[in-house]
Amino acid sequence: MRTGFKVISLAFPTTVLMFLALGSLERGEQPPKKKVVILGIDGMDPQILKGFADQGVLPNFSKLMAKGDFKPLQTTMPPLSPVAWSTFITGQDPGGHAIFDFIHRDPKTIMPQFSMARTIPSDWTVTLGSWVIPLRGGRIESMRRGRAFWQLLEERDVPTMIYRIPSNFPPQSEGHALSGMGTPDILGTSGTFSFYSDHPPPGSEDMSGGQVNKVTVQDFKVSGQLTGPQNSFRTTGGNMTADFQVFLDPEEAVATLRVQDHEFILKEGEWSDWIRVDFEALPHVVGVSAIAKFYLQQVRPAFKLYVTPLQINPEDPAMPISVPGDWSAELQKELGYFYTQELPEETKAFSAGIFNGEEFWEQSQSVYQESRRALDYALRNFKEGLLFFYFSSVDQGSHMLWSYSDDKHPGFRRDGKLSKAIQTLYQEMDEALGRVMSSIDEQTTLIVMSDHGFNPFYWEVNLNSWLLEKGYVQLKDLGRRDGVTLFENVDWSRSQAYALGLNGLYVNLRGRESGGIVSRGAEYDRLLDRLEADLLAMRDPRNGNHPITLVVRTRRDLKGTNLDSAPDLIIGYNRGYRSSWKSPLGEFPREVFVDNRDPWSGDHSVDYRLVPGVLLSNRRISAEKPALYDLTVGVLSEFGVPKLSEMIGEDCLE
Amino acid sequence: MAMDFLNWIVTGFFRLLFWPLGILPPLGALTVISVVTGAIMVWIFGRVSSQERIRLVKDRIRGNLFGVRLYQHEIGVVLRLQRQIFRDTFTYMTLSVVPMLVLMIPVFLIIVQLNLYFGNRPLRPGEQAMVRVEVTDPSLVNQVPVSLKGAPSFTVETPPVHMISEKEIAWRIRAVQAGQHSLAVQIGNHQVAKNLEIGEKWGRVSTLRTTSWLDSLLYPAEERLDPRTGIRSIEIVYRPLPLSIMGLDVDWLVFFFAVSVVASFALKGVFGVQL
Ligand SMILES: [Zn+2]
Repeated sequence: MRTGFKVISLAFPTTVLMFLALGSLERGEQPPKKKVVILGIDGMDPQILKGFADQGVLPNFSKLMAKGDFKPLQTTMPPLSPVAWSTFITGQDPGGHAIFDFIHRDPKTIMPQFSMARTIPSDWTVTLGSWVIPLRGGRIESMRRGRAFWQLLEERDVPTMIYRIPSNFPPQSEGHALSGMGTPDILGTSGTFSFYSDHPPPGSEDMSGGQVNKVTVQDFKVSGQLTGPQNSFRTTGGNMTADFQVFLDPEEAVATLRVQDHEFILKEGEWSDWIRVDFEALPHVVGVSAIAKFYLQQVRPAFKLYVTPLQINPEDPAMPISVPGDWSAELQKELGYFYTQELPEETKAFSAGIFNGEEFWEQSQSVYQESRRALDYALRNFKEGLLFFYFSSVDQGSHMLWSYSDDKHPGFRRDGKLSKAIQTLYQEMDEALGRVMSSIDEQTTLIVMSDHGFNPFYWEVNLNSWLLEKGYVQLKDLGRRDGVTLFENVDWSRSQAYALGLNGLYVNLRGRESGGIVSRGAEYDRLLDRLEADLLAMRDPRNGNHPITLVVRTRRDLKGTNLDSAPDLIIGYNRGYRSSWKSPLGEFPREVFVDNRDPWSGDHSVDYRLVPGVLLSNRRISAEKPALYDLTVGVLSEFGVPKLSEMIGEDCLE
Repeated sequence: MAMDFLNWIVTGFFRLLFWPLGILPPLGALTVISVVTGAIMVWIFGRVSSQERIRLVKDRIRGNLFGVRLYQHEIGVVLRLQRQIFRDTFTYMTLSVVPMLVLMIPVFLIIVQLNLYFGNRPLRPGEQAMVRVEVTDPSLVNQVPVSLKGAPSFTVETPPVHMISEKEIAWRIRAVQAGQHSLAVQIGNHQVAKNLEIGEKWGRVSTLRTTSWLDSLLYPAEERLDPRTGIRSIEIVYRPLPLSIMGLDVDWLVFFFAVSVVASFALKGVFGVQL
């Protein structure tokens, strides 16, 4: 006891002295802490940005352009977010990081697959009655190859905070990271909303992106069920569910909602806060926690209730959405619940006609407000190292609201407020930029960048129908063209090529595709030569335009060598054109060219030279024509870290 | 009626008690109360249990345990001693069960009171809450006009939702001014008051006012309702008071039990009590 006391009484002042000594050493020898802040604004377009800046409505961007530097930033081919962000993350082209589209395919079955991550189910289970108990958990694997540049910084003890960068699920980091694009909802999809109505819209049974449920209003009461994930603990399968009730006032347009032990009141047209919903897999033992918001769209004459896709609950995440694992819970404590699913803006309900433009705008603004609050949190907690912060609002808004401000668009819609929506989104970014600029010092490097820009999407191209017309594809039954998806009608024994994903074109290759007929070598090369020439010669008979201006041959033009899942050709569309909605998933509609009247009216999956992103910095940009992979090297060199040999870019910042 | 009087006394006593404790953070106040409760409990236990017999039984158990180790090779002795230990353990338990049951009454009263302070927190100004009025007869839901009064301390954000099947009428309100307010439910010719607590700090929060004396045992802060008004209960749905130690969320009841048990064991020597 007494010796113990002595040790403590000696140890205490000694430790204090040691700390003081260490502290003074550190202060004496360490250079000032390096700080880099990157604002990643998905889909920000250099021409649109310059247009608004010239009008004087973006004071902070104008200030940064004047005091620092601004150049277009070369994107990737195809200029799709998962591809472009992966290039920024790894400093490699798609051949290096192996993400070529949103959708890849399994060559054996020609079934589409998500490109960014895949689940590997538990391989070790026991069965007890109707219950299956996994003894080792399944896991989720990111499909992106190559090391993230921030991992090189972390190796050198540079603190990092990576907020929702795309193609980083599950997040790879030793610092702090929250996953973004690629993160599923609780059902494992890219976001499936639910809609409950006593008068569901016709044809809504197989709506994409949403689940429409018919309910009945009885005694001013509606009972419904939220569909949770599959219960993998049950041999009988089936989804877990959570019941809810809605009590309608007999006269007023107002209702009480009861969801598990939460009760709240909504007027018609109101949104709830986030509501926690728990699904039980093994009663009282294993469950899955989710969060959702409820939107009482209409009480009567028809009852209409929209529920957001069930989000992975950041407080109790069912999948790895953050590093450290409990960082999402810490964020929840600090900021309240938030959307965790990739791209939470409700584009699907808008495209499906469940939302109108105004409703989409309101919902997407709520997503933006959540991100904006998180930016304040990130800036408050950023002391040194790297902070990357991501915004999705400009990309999603430019996709969905383009037709409100473009009277040449086949789907042009007149709306006083929404015609200014894209400008508002850029002004919100300007305000966020102002917040960042006021919170950093002169020594901090500030980078504002985007992965690609934007084009109008006037005309859909059914590339598979074109391949059929040109004889590259043969169908089993030419009469059955409508509603047959996933290449079910294709006669593989007579088909040489097929289009899948937004920009991918694949050869039906012997030894790779299970029904492959084209041999490697000369036959393959001849086919690609012919395809390339035919694609570039394609004309839209309605206006004489060339819908395709670029054809990339992955195995000839890309530098990286991870080409196993690469398409053989990547198609670059001309301004105004894009792949249709039906072609990427293996349909063969009768028309090759179709006017696009979907609310999804702006896009960027075109020839990459048409849609560069933006690069702004408070440093001078030394490269004449900087590309995304140059910026990767540029950020590393800000910290004095050399690039890896597989990185194809050069430092672009002074 | 005797129950109401007891409620009134106990509630009044706790209001006095919390008047100085209110300056502490909630966990500090709860620690003080838990330690004091532990002390009082161990003291009461000393008074209401037969301490002499407890000591005797515990000594004998200890002796016999020693005997088991000493004679571990003589099966007959060990078996006899084990039977004796088993009997004594049972006696010991009966000796402590009765006083424990006696103790449960004050502990229950204390917990009910503490729940008023640590279960929920006042509404923050600007925050929304649901007000639920349960009536005695379904016909009252849609045949008698019902309304909420009490502005400007709060605003009523929605028309009333009439739920006939639930015998319930509900509103959403938004808190405006900090303070201890009164919300009035007008039903037909009757007007019924309900406390409404709004503020930035923690404090006593009365969620329920009811006609049922059983419920009023659990929610003793407000006088029982007169059943003739047609209202069975008025509830305001508050949010739980968050309590955390070093970033870890704790339930106030678990914390209370843990601290008061530790305190009783720590203080049993001070009071010379055998547990
Ligand atoms: Zn996009």
